[in-house]
Amino acid sequence: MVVCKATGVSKRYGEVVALDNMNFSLQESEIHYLVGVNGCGKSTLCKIIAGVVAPDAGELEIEGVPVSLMSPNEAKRRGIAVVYQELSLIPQLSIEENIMLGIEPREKSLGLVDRKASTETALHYLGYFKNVLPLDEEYVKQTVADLPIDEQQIVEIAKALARKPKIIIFDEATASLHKQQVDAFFSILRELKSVGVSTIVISHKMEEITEIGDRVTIMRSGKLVNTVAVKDVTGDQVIHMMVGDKELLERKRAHMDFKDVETVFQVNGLTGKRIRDVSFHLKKGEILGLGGLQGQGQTEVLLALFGSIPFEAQSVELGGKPVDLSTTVKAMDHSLAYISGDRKKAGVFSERPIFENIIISSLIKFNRKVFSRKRMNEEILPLLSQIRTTFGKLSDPANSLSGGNQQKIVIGRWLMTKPAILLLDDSMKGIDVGATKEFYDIMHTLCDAGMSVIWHSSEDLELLNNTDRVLVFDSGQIVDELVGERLNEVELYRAALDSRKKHIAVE
Amino acid sequence: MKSKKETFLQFSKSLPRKPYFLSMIILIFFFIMLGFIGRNYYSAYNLTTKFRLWMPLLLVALGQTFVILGGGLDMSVSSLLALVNVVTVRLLMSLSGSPFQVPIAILAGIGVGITAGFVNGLLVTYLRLPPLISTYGTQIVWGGLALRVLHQSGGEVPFSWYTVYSSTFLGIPFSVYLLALLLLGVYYLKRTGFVTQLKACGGNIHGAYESVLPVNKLRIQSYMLCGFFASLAAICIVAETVTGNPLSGSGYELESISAVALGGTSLAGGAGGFLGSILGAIVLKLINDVIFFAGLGVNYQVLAQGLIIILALAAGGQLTKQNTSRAQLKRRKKV
Ligand SMILES: Nc1ncnc2c1ncn2[C@@H]1O[C@H](COP(=O)(O)OP(=O)(O)OP(=O)(O)O)[C@@H](O)[C@H]1O
Ligand SMILES: [Mg+2]
Repeated sequence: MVVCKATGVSKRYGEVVALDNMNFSLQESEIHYLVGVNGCGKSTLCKIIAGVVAPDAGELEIEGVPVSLMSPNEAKRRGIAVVYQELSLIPQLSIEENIMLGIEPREKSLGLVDRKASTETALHYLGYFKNVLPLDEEYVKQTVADLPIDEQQIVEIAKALARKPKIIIFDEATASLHKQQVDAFFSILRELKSVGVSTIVISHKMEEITEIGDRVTIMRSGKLVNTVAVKDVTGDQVIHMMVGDKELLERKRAHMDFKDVETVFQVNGLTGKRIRDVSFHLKKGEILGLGGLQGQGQTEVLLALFGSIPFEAQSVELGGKPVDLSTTVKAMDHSLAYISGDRKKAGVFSERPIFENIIISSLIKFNRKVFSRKRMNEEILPLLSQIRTTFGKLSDPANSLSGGNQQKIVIGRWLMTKPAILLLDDSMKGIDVGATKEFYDIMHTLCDAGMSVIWHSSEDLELLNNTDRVLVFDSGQIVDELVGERLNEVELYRAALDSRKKHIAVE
Repeated sequence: MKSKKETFLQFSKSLPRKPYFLSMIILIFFFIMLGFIGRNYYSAYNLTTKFRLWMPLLLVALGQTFVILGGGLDMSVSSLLALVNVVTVRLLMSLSGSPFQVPIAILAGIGVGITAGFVNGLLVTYLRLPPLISTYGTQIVWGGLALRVLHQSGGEVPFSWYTVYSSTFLGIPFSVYLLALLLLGVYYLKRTGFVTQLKACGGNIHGAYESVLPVNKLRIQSYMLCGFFASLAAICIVAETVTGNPLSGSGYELESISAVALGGTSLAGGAGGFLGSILGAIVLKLINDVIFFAGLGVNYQVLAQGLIIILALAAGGQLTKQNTSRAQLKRRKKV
């Protein structure tokens, strides 16, 4: 049975056509993947189904009944829940209050919120993640603003589940999740399927589709390309449908020998919160990966080097001279740049125009009152179009962009500061396959020209395919270094887990 | 089950993280100071009189808290006080002799307050005007209306109003009972989840909309509650002064907002509480007394008042910052 059907849906934002006569249908209890490059209209389609955005044209049917005017309220009544890409959480409220917002269980007599039932329900829906969260009553009383982005994402998922939906939409819900958390998420998808709930999942992680998807709908520039059963297509075919005829080459960085190259950056005995005595060097033009299990101090190392969090070190040398990286401005003065994957917290100024978002860091770094529009037009805009950034006007606010395109703006901003050492912290979050490949190319080209990169990623393959050397982290320490032939998944997992075993043995 | 002692210990541990912590400290400090320098400050007579004089600000600050939590601001409360004041007094005068004189005058005053709040709410929700500007506009309108109703101070109010308002029962003044009753009402609204939903609107309005909260309704209700509290404040002023005054509320808009901010409520909306606003309002009132008894020259009183407010707000900001890093530290230890 078709539970949700959109026919001929169109939506324009000024000049930008977000959806163009799009058709979509969702079967009962299927896991339906919705894919396409950044800005092709996936989120817009979901918002129309959820009643948050009104379409310019087209019809919507839920369980065979036409809906003339969809509103959030109408969608809620028809059992539609959404996990939004840009998260709909209220930062000031607690986890529990967020999950139960608008669906508070009430005592019969006075209409008061039944606090016990409320806590229990919140814990129940978070319970799917009990292996990856320290769940208890105290946990759900925490303010959401204090949570890291992955846990916020989990809260948002629990919030949607608590609405007991018949149709549930996950807009890039796995983008900020770690491997283990994704596994927990998949078990939710399976359970939902088994009880007859229909799900729409948006993701840029192609391997997910084959692992758990039933059908996949591919979109391009607001139009439907095709809807196919997952078992009938390969991942490559899906990607080809997404990007059209453009060639997508699987390019791997050649192994290079950095023995005789000069060392540009040398760190000894770096210690701080979650970082224990980390020492490493970085050669000119080298791409150094920070790998291992998630949350083992990789992000903190990058933040410390960029002056965002306090640290102590025996020595930090840049080009052979000791440097002070204790504040962000100092780090920028020494030509470091840091691109965070958490664009909401550390990236986009969402109300400000796109061009301000691009130039802001350069203005600060070069201490200018005016910026060179010429340089932006000649150097950065071509780069942005190479990673396929689509936007209306440079003066539009950043939040008018699709999630992935916002992230690309942040990348553009930091490349504009001409960094000598680029710190990447899961910077590809929410960016589609095609654009990601282009970004890899840009990195390789810039490194050939003398830039060096320290790259942390939660995608192991991204690290292994693009770096010259990977430092494996565990509990804030470097436990192994992978180079040359050892740059493969088996070695990476072994290195990350081996030290675990030793730890357990010691304790 | 937790024992009482444990609950108390837990509470006192969490105290420094409460939004009203700072105003509480200042309040205690002021009270101790006044014990030394304020001649006979703690006599029953002085305290009941003081509390009666504080009452209007306490009420307006409570009402303002609803609006600010919901992400708004009500600049119009000052002249709303005046409007309700003169409407009540005019009705008392024209109905004099009727058995329904008092209830009609009071209900009409409250009705005017709630209606004015409703209008404010419509302006900021359906017409999408920024709260600061639109309620500044209505401030002028209410003020103009007040002058139409009563163009200068005056009017007869039965003296029984003052007798009742200044009476005590079991040694506790009437105004304290009234405040307690209202706080009970506020507590009820908290327990129904209304306040949480309001905070959601103030904290992230897009998120609240996507969570299918009736955003406009909630925000309009917050302005209506503010109007309600302002009208009660106006009636208290009528009872205290036993006369009508079309300019009676001036200054209350900014004073109430300062009280709310001092109480630890974020002016950006979404976080804070009512107890803080009460404490903040009392602090504001005590500043005057402390300065007075400290023997500061009249010329310096206003200056000192301003400096203390700024200091208190700055300290509050520092405290919030510390709490954030403390919460993050706690997480780190757990992981
Ligand atoms: N509020 C808005 N105002 C103006 N333009 C918008 C708005 N929302 C979306 N758009 C535009 O509509 C197009 C489709 O955006 P949408 O968010 O649906 O993309 P998406 O497929 O979800 O991309 P991503 O993978 O990057 O999240 C984009 O070009 C975007 O710039
Ligand atoms: Mg999107």
